[in-house]
Amino acid sequence: MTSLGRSPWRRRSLLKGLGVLAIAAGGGLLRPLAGLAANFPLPRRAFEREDPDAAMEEALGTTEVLEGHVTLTAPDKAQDGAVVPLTLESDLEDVARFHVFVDKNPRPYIARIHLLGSPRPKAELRIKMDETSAVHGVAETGDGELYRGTKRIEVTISGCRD
Amino acid sequence: MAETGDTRIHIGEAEPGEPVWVQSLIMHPMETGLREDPKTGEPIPAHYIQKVKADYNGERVFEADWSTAVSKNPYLGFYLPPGEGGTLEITWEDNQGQVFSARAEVGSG
Repeated sequence: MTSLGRSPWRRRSLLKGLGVLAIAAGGGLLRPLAGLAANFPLPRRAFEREDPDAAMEEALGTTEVLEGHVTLTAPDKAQDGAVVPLTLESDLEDVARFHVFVDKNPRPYIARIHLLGSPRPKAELRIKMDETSAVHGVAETGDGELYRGTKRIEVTISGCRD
Repeated sequence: MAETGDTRIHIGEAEPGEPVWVQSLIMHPMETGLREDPKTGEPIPAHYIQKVKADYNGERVFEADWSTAVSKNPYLGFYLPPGEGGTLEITWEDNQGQVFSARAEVGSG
């Protein structure tokens, strides 16, 4: 391991406003962005759905999701709904992506994570929760099979209104 | 004070033949668009990161699509494939067209 790789939380300079400049210049003039064409389109319509079943239907094409093979690790009680840490893991070998849903959020579909060259199906993130709710971590395999792990997380202070 | 777009990347220990755990942070307000300014009562426009991309030696290894319900100053942890090491570049794009990017060197496993 290099010394650079060993330094913890190495601060990086920001490229604030670069995107605005790059767009104004016709894109990619300042610096080529690798693999830009590989972008997955944003699931905008699914993110906007307000009903949990409608959100899942829009995001996954179905609400038929089998139980199991996904471990969702999170606190039982989240004092601050603005910052709820989640760890998603699966024992399946061929996980293409993870999806996160919070049933009682104003918009239940939270995030989609694509594990392209990522060899071990695990991801961590922090989310906002409006109130106490079931949270679902869904693993989608390369064959399109869907499995979920669900956890009820109690929220003391809402994290969506502030 | 940290400013919007400040980033941190931490690369875990590279063990031979094992995936490498990466942790990243970016300073960003992640405004939902649902809030009002407490002083003026005016709605605060949505301002949030909607796409994260990770390229390892120029190859896309990870991508995330985010709604407004990802927490302020978003954290993300994921695995890189084992290998010879190299350069990891993470790019964050927000809904107002700003693009932030950071690089880190990964040791050989």
